[in-house]
Amino acid sequence: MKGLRLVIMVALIGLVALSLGFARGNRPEREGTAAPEKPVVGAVMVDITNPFFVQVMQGGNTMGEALDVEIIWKSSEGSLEKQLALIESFIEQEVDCIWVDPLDPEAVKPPIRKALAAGIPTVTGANLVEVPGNVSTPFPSYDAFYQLTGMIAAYLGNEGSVVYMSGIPGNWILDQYQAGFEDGMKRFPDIDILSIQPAKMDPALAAQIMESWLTTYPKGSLDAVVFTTDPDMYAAIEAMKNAGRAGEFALFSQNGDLPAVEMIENGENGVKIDLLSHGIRIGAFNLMVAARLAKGEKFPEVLWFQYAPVMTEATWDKIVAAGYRKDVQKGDPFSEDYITPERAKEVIADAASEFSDWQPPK
Amino acid sequence: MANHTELRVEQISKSFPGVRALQEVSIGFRSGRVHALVGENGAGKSTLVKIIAGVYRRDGGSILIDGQEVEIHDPRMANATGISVIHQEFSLFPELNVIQNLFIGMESTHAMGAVLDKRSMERRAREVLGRLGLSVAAGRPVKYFSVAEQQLMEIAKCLIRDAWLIIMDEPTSALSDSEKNTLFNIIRAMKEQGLAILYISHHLEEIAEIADEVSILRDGRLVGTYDVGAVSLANITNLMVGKDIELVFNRTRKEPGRRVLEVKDLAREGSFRDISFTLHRGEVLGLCGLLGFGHAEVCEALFGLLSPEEGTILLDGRTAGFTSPLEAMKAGIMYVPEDRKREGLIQTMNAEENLSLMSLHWLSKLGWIDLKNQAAVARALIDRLSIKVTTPKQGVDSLSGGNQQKVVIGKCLSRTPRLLILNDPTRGIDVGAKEEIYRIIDRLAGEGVAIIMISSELPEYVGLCDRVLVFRHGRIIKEFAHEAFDQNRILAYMLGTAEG
Amino acid sequence: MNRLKQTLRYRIKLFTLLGIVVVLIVVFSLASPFFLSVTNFVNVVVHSSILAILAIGMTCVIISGGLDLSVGSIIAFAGVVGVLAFRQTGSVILGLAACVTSGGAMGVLNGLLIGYMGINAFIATIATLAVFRGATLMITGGHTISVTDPAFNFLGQGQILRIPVIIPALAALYVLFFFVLRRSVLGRSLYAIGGNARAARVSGIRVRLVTLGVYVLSGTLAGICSVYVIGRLSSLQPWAGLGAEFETIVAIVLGGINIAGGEGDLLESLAGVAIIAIILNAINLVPTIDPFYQSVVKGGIILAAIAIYERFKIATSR
Repeated sequence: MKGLRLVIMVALIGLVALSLGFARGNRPEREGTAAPEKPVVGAVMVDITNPFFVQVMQGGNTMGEALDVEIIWKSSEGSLEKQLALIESFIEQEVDCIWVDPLDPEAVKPPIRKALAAGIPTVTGANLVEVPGNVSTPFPSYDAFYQLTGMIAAYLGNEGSVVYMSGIPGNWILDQYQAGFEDGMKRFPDIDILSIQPAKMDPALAAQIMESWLTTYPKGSLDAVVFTTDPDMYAAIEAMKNAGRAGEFALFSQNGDLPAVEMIENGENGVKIDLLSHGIRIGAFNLMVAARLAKGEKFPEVLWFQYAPVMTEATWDKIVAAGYRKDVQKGDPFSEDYITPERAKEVIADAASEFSDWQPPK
Repeated sequence: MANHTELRVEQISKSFPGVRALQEVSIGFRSGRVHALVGENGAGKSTLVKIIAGVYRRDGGSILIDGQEVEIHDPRMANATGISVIHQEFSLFPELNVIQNLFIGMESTHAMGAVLDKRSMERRAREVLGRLGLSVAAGRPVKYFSVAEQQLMEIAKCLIRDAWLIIMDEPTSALSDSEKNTLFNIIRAMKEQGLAILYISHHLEEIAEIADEVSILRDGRLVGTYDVGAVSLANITNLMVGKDIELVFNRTRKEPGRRVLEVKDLAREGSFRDISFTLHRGEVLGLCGLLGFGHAEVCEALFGLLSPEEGTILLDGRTAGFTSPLEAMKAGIMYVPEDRKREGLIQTMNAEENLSLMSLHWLSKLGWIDLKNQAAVARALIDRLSIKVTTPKQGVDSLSGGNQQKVVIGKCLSRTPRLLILNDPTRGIDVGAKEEIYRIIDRLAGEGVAIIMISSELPEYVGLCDRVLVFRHGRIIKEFAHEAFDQNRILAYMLGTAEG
Repeated sequence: MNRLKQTLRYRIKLFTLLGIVVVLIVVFSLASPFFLSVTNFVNVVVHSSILAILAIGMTCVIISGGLDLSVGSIIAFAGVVGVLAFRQTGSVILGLAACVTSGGAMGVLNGLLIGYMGINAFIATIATLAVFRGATLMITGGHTISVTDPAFNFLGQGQILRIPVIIPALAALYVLFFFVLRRSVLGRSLYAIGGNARAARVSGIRVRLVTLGVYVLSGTLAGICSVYVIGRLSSLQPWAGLGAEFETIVAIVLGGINIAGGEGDLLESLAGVAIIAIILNAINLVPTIDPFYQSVVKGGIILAAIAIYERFKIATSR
């Protein structure tokens, strides 16, 4: 019968689609909780198509192999409701630890509580989520940029004009960078913040903002440009090159991408200091915490993830000579005072080794 | 043109789930003859035509052209064999121009289909249209032409496709008398050229005028094929319906009761003015006029679909100016609209739901419908009006035209109205159903309902109404009492050719 | 078409949908040992509650021949109004009432535009979608507003007898509106207007008023949704409800609602919502589906379900 054949064919298509997903899965099937197997970490990411998160997954996977745990990656596709649903699904699946990058620190509390009540340890990456038993790995983003302003001021000799390209208003981490920057700059009355514009993590927008700044501030009226993240800086550098003004300003940024690190090393485009966070390190660090929690280890409830400022030795000497000192507000954001570009490259290549023996500070 | 002599259907049968639409029907259609096909709605005419035109597949029997059996799988094949259909609702594309419509699907092209050969199409179009006596701006979109002109274009379409058998479905339903004559002349001319015409119509007088032979279908079977000269209209009707029908209805006349409606100086800019009349219980008042003369608008105003700007309406002595149909209904006025498909029925609902649609307010308590009550009311109406449904839950879109109209009328009778307004209640219905509706009107008047009606057939006014008001250009120009009824005089006043 | 045949066809349609649901459940139970459990089915319902609530309103609107594309934005803005009212007055009752009634008020705007001014529903509600979302972003500045009051969040997080409150609430709403559509004057009017609005008017139905009413209904249900969303997320998200209207339409069309209006009932919508809910839950649960292929798998299953259903429709319409 023609109709029946078509129905079967279509049902097969559906099942094939399903199995396609199976076949390309990153691990073979779990058959329930029979024999003792590798611990399983359930990772709920905000988004997995964003290049940043691709790096995070890379770092996580490297660390996962090193520590011999299995990782199930899921994407919230930017939706808070989906994120909560994924956490609840992981509770269903009885994973050994849940690692989530919360879109909203308040909203995730109820499912985190549920997970802890079910005996599953939790890690909330990059955010402070205060639930007893939960381990938070926030970025000391406020402090990071607070300290950065000290470095910038010292580099400029405590006077000059700067502009700041912020992130997405409403995103807690990015807002904290901005808060740290603004508060930090208050210490230096002779440094003028001429403009703050949100680039919303969108390089195209960053280029546009840079172009209007170039028009507004002729040569000599602007000394430094500060970026929230490296992709914004690259787009802005292209705008500067188009206007023939690359290298005119001192550039400061965050993330520690390989291209940025190399620009610092080679003295290109005026990039002076980049705070190394880097997706790979973040992924490796968080996975390390999650894996060890899955194996039964205990950690304090707040583990500050640490940046490392990347700059040449010459820059370091210059700012120290100009009077730069670390002035910790909430928590020390840096693992070291500074690292050279060469060392930064080593760290990026082998994030697993940086953290595998990591112990929480006393 | 394809030179055939006869298309014959032999023992054609077709069934649909639940109904045998055609049973062993055998008819022959010969070139040079106009062959009429008559039957009540549901008798099988359109099914037969669709089989010939390739839209349906027959279940049994065969189709023979010139004695050779043929298979007509789809309309394209039918077209190729020389069969063309002109439907009641034309299949012209209103936004395309005449030439595009004539050649649709078979455009002449250059360069193997890449470029349209406009000039040769235009030439051929003019030639064919000329033969039909139609000289029009062929580049204008079809929607700008009159219905009669569009119909001639449909015929031209057939001729361009070298049609040999042209099937016409109710061709005169939207034509004036003079346009009808033109059409008949063209049909006669086509006959002379050897075409065969299959002519479907409810208008038996037309068949007497134009057809050579007539085939009568009843309940899916062929009653017989007769020479038109050899059988009278009365016979044809009897054979169609299977029983005796009076062709002209005569109402039982009674004395009208007390005054129910008084309309004074009603006016609405652009539609009607100086409208004044009265109506009594049990009286049937006819409003007649050509399209757009305001009589239909007056009816809508009485029902609250339009607002009159001036004048008063008194119902049982009390002033009543209705701003919505619901108010009119609450006061006891019911309205059967002109176009049952567009205004009368909800095609997605079944008979019971349609029948109860105008009495929801009264069938419900606190907003919840009493379904048992609804079913009872529907049942009662079905019995009272003899509506043929297999079950009250039958979808109205599967009912015949006559039964659909009964549903619309029934809907208005779910609560006995004080005033019933009927706008063309027998449009598009076969003779048998028409007679049933006349009886219903008669009975209602006898029960004291005041009735206003508009009709598209003069004999209905004569047969049903107690009085007739003739409208012309938005005003009432003449009132007739039934003793003075005379179709010709009424028509004269409608057309404006009367004296006095 | 013969109504008897239509009833039979309707039963076959529901049966087919039920069959698809069963097949999905079987397939997913085999794919993951965690699928077939009470707690997971609770998850299925909870994760699709927004879809389910909106489906009720959307079904009513579509049956009446209309369309409401603004419900997602109504969820967001009703939330804003409610949360602000709660913060200003400190009263949970007032805040909740403000959420629901402001949803209804936005529905009034839609209803006036569509029912009284005669603007095409698609265009009108796309416009109000933008207006309401814009107002939300303006007032919140793009920030989320935290809400931690347990009374306010009861619908989203509370439990009765260890079952999330939303489940009996959903059941009650579905039962209520199933009967409203089938047996109330309002319901009958919706079908009439959707079937033939002109004929409905000529039959005495107050088309404009009922049209206004159905959009108010849709907006009010979206307001209820917003209470639930705020409760569940413990916060008002400025982007709440984004895309919800399209997901809802896909779900109920999958279940068999005719987008032209005039027919259909809530069982069909529920079937469509159930299919989508099960698929989404399973994708979360089955560990081995590489996240990059999740969208492909999701789309493939929905496509298969629609194809089966369409094939069935063609087969039974001869």
